[in-house]
Amino acid sequence: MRRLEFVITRFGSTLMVLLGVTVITFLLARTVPTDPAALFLGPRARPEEIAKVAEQMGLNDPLPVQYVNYMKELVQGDLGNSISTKRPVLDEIFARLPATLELLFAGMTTAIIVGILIGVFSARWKDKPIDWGGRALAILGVSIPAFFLGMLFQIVFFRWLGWFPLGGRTSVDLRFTSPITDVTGFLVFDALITGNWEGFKDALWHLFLPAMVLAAFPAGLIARMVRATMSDVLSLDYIRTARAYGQSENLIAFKLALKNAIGPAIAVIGLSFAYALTGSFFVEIIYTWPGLGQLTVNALLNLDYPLIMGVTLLGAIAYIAVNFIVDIVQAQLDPRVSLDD
Amino acid sequence: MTDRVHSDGTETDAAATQPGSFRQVVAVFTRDRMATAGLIIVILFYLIALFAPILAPYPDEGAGKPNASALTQPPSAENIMGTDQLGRDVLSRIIIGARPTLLVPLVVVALAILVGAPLGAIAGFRGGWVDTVIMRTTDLFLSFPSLLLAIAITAALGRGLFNAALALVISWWPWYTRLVRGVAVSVRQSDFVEAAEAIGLTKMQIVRKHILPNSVTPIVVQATIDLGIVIIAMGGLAFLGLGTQPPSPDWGLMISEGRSVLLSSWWVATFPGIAIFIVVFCFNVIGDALRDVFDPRTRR
Amino acid sequence: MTKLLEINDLSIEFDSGAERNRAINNISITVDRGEIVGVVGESGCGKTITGLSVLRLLPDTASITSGNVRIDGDDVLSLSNKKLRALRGSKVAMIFQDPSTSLNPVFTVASQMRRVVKQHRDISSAETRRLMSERLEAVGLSDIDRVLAAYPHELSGGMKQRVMIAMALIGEPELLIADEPTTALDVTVQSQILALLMDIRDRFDLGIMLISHDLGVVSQVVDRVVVLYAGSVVERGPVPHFAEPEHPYTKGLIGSIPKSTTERGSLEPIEGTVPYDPGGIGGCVYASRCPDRMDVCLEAAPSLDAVGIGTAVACYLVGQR
Repeated sequence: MRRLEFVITRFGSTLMVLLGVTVITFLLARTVPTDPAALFLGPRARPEEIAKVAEQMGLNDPLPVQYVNYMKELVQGDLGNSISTKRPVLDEIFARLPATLELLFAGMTTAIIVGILIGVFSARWKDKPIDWGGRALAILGVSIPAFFLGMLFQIVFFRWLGWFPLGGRTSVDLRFTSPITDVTGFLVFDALITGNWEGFKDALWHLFLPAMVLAAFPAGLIARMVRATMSDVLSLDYIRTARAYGQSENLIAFKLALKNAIGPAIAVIGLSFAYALTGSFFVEIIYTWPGLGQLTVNALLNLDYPLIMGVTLLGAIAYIAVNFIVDIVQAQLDPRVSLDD
Repeated sequence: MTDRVHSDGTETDAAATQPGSFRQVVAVFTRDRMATAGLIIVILFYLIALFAPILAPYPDEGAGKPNASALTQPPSAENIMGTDQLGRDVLSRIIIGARPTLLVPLVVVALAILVGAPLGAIAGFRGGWVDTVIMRTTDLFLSFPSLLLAIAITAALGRGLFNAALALVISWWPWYTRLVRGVAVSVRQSDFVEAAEAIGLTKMQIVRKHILPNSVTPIVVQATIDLGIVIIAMGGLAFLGLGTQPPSPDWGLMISEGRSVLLSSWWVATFPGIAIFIVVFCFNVIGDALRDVFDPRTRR
Repeated sequence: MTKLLEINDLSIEFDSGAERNRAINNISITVDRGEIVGVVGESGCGKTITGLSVLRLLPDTASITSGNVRIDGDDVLSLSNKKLRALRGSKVAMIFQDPSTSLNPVFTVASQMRRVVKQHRDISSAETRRLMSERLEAVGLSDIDRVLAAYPHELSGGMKQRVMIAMALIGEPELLIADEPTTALDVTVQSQILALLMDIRDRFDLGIMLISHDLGVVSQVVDRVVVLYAGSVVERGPVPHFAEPEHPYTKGLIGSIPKSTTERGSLEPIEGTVPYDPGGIGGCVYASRCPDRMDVCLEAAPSLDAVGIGTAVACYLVGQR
């Protein structure tokens, strides 16, 4: 099957990119910081000790040898140890991952749904008030930095209106009233499957604001893209054909054109994910969300390079994986794709 | 991968992007009032940045000098945007902080273009292995979320405004390589380049006389939109403590500093936030207007 | 008796924001049942716009400034949106120039045809299936199941145009507007499609408006010809009349058609191009390119005068005779 062939070749090129990405993180981790051995031992280490550790860490080997060793460790899931906690970087990351994934999932899902809706409505009623509103919303979304929007929401929805909590994943007293059993690490989901209604409400209530803040920028990107591709499609011959055969404008926009436009439009979802990923750093700090972003920002303060590079590498891998999936979905949506370019 | 997607998520069919003249750019502003308003506001903000020390009511406080007699005062006649935790006039900090916040991204985008555009022209025009090497390299850089890469690089180089700016240049140049390569490929396939070769122009001359001029409009459009994104990214780095270092002002840093008193003294973080929003919003409005005209994909 | 299609004194203007152009200037065309009428002219003459106006499919920038379009006496231009949609694809169907862009690439043939059925017929899915198969057979396609399951890109250009025609026949139309239906196709396929048009005209008693730039091709299949130049009718009449056309433009059109008997080098293109804003021209629209131009041609446009039964020409040269 050509489709399978396509998936395999894409997968192959994705692996090549991944390999290249490790070269960059390796170079950043091993060569740019002053001296990894000195960093590892802390400020009070004596030069002899540093030299010894440097030897042990293989820092005196030629760079290619170091890279091979780095890759060997990487393949075994060894990203080194955190300087501040001395625990393996991967363990630190995995401990924080579910919180971030929950936030990203909620944010991206919102962004995709809202973005597509705004884009389609804008294109359907192009140059009408609905379109003006949609465009304004989209520009608004990509113009407010997450680190400002997060605080603005706190002032408005916590301080003034009191509708939503200031931060955290759950209320403090939830631990005593109806604690959420840890199954997957996604609190909203865990509470739901364990039938913990109070916990579910509380977790969802805490998730709302951070997810909205995270969704704003990607939703704006997606809305613009969908509007542009939809407008293109709506001016094509086969849409004229549909009109010539009496199809309604709503059917044309929401079904006939959308199915054509959605493929090219979702190319932007990969990029939106990249913005959401870095956006989560800010959102997690502002909403004291105990995820990767918080971990990374602490690592930045402590100059915890192994951890920073671990997160960077993982971020790149996640981004590449999302783009890979987007590619496959795009190809799947379009029967014309000869799947060979 | 997502070969033609730009940093703002738009796709350009480079072959279809028509080379426009500077006069057409001007024409956009004479027709689109929103874009004109945006441009005027942006220019205003940049003028403020340029003449910051003259315009700031309290230049010393703006630059970072604490004032123990007026800690976190709400907006008043003397301090129309209030004062921060160290008693510094927020308005003065915004005005002085406009320099790193607005001028540095301008330099970052300019350098990214300076590095990225020629590489793209060479890749697109030479083709072959040169193209492969350059484009695979850009692919690598673009495999990272740009801001994440910038964070990692800043962390590696050490925090500070200069390193943060450098990190953003390193993460941003590949977008322009990609953009210009697209133009170069379409120009190479056009007849007038064949004619130019026929009359004996060298490849470098063709790059200089045909590819770079044809790239100007797409670059201007892209740079306008990118400026907004880079301002946010730069502010983000400052917010994380990686960019401008205290006591110097920077809007991102000010928002971060205002966080600890957010609920009691909203003005400390809100005014710099509004400032950053206004500028980025204007850049996006201008960028949209330019793109509507120059990107045939969205013109209809 | 009312004609099937009557276009009366139709004028269409384009508004590009900065300026208005009159693309169609007071044209009148009729088509009756069982008759194929060719509308002929160079590209940019307003042929396609005329065809689209019958179903009110004009782009947003175009507006009809005078005249009317009547189907069986009913004014199309004043129909409500609902009635208009009921008309489109049922009583009046349309096929387009490029079959590969006229079918939606991400839906199968069956799905696209079914949607037309659903729009105009209230029948069960089994009956729908049978109707679709019948129509596909009627346009000369075989292996119906495969065609129905196919996406447009899996079919050849000729097959796609046949599918379009089958789709047009679903609503049992009385009038078919065919906008350059053969231009995008290979020469051998062209004649097959033209033969098919004649065939369905006979079987379904269709009136067909066949829009084309190629007078030579059209004259093989049509009963009458309307020659359009720069948004105006310059000559019309039954096919035999065009063995010796009288308008200089029509003569030019025939002179530019390659024939097997034409000697090398004797092919004569018409000099110049169609004017951009024909509505703004005071005199004859063809004057700028006409080899026989006289002073009077620049002053006022000649009227379209009858010169025989069903034959009319808009040219001072003809009037003088």
